[in-house]
Amino acid sequence: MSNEPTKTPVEKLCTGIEGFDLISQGGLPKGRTTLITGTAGSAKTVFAAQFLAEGILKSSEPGVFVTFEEHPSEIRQNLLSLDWDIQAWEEQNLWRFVDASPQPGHEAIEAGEFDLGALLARIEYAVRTIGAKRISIDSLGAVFTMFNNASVVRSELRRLSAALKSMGVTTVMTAERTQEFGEIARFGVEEFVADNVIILRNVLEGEKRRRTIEILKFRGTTHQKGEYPFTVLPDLGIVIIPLLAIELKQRSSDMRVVSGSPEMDRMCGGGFFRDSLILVSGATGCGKTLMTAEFIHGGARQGEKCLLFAYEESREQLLRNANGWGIDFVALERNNQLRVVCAYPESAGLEDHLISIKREIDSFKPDRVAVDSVSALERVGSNRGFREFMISLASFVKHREIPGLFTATTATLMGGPSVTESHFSSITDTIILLRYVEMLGEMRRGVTVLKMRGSKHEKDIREFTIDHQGMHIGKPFRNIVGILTGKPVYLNTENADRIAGMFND
Amino acid sequence: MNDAELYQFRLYIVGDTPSGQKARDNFKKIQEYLHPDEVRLEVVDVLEHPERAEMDRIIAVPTLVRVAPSPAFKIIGDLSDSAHLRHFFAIPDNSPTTSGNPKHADIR
Repeated sequence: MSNEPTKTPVEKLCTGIEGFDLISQGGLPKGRTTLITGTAGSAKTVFAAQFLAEGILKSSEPGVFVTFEEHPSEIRQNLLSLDWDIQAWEEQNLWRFVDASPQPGHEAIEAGEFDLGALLARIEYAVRTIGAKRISIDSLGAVFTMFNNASVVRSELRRLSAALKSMGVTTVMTAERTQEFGEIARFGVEEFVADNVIILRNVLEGEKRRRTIEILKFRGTTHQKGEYPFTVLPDLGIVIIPLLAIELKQRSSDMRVVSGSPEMDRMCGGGFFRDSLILVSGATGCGKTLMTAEFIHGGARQGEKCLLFAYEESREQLLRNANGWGIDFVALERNNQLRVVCAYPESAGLEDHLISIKREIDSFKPDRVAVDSVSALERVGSNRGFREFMISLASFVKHREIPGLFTATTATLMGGPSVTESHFSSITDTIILLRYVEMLGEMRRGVTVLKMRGSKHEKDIREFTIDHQGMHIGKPFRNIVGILTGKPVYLNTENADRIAGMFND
Repeated sequence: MNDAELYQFRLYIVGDTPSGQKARDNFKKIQEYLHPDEVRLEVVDVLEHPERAEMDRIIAVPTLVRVAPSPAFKIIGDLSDSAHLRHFFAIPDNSPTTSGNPKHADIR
């Protein structure tokens, strides 16, 4: 098989499974067999079915589903939950089952030599009748349990594999694994059926389930390496989050947009860049949601469409708070200038949150996006899952070439880093710190622009106040050091002047 | 004799293969033991009637399906495993296949 001289590179077939064609650099090797292995519950059957469904939906390619486990009626019913009407496709000759599932109550005994010629003939017949381009076979392990003679099954599956190749169809076969990390599949099937192997995992990580997909090998062609998280959504099926496979070709723009606060615009040297990510970090209650609201309000005043994801407060709370700062979110929503999406962080997994954010952005097409706060989502997933979430979210927003403002809550009241910051700071363009400053028995608030990629910015830590008209940024703190470390030390004016003078020319 | 008392078998084969022929030959022995008049055999070539193989969910060939009396069951292979089959059809080891009344045999 592999020693044929091949002059043309391996062609690929776009699967249509979201994210998969990116990580596989074009889809599954065309006209070949790919093995999908995974433990129980790793979504192998969904993958196999979706491979056919996407072929029908996106390129009207008929498909044949060979089932050794579930009865077609069960599969039809299960896939209705993904909005795929298999029965209708069967009537249109777009989908055909080859039912090899066990018949309950039908005993079978083996007496003498046999081969799987009937299966082969049935598959060929089904492919011929509807002109199938795609075949899914679910699952190989079940074939082994049907017969005592494993060596016959093995050689027959090899024959099947060769026959599929000569039919010119692209095939997905599933096989079970007993462990997440260990042998590729039971019965060693990967050795004789497929040049291409994909592993689906469903690993328990810190009490959270995390699904990943890994392309282990594609013979004779390239693919992205490593594991990529995915999720199974009720109306989309498998959605893979391509993470680092996302091309880093974001253009950068010199265009500035308003931050919502004229003083902040000045501190940033003329506003935020249009396609930049802004991280606003601070302790609880020190004004992050306010900055978010100002950001939205500022955009709306310019006639922009704004999208706000709120994970910390309910809708009512948020609207009331905004009202308290003189910002009428309800009116903005009525004008279709704003959409507020409130969600409880624990209501879904990180992957699901990410995908719902993407879908909202795709459908609302905002000119700016804010998420308040990303750190609320930190507790939903594992550390690694959260890092991947952040990277993916950041690159998605950047691709839209719109400004994205994300807030992060620091663990301690007076400063210090947060997990969010450490995951996020290298991919954000602008970091704004909000800090409490204890001064003479009073809590004041300070704001500073820590980083502003590609632009000059002010280095001062300025005091700001909040009233019914929102945020007011005032003068720099001159006689305090150590605000950022959370250990402010007061200098008398004389000392302050002296230190300031040290850096003068 | 009405149909209900008949033994009805269906043998699935794929094309004209040695194993298919062997299964037919071996079936004759069983038929003779079960009494030829009471046994009906239908041979189905999957290449000609794939839809029938679909109905009976046949994947291996040769496969012998006992259609009647119920319950239906399948015997997979060319029926060459005579010891297994003798046991299955309750054929005594020393029995000449042409004689005897099998009525007592419990074919399940």
